[in-house]
Amino acid sequence: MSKKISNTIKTLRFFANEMTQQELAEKAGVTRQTIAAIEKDKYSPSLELAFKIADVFNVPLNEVFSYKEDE
Amino acid sequence: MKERNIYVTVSSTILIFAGYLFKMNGYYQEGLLEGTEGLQFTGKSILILIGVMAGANIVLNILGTIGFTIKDSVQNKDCKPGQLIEDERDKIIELKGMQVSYAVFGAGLILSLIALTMGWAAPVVIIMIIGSLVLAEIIGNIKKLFHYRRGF
Repeated sequence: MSKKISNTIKTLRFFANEMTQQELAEKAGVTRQTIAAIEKDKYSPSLELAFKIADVFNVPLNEVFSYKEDE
Repeated sequence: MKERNIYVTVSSTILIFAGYLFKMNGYYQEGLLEGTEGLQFTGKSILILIGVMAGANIVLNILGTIGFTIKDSVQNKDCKPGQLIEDERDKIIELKGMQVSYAVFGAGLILSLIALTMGWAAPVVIIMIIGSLVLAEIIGNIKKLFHYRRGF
């Protein structure tokens, strides 16, 4: 059984005036590569960064990130 | 940008250490590394090697960063100042690299001590220890490169 954190950043960026990864990175204070890695579920951000990203889109944390266990 | 800097660091480290080994092998063949004077000579050569490596890495990384930034701006690639900052993902990748480096250096140190107990010349063992340090640095950087290329 594997555990996975998935996210809706790509969708949220699209609905936020098609915000680019670079713009989100600048607002969250990280590199564009980090945003790309998070979007592809390759990297799980720290709690602080997760809150910052949710804050950029002005949505609660659980609308950006979700946790599920795969069989 | 960080990937490129790693390439520069690894290349310069390999080149400088290969040159050092080539030079020291010559001195070893001439018998200059024997006795107390040989140890003193090895000590001095290692101090010079550390200085040269540190200096070369600093200078090449600065020149590399400037060069790559100019190249990217000429080619209209996205090279924002944000790319130069170090974030949490970079720090974790750095730690993963260090973890491998420590393991490699530990193994190299034990092998060097085994060589010493088997009667290998002290200067050769010292160079082996320095060699493990350099190898640890290279493998740690390769590990970092692996994570950067994969995304994490």
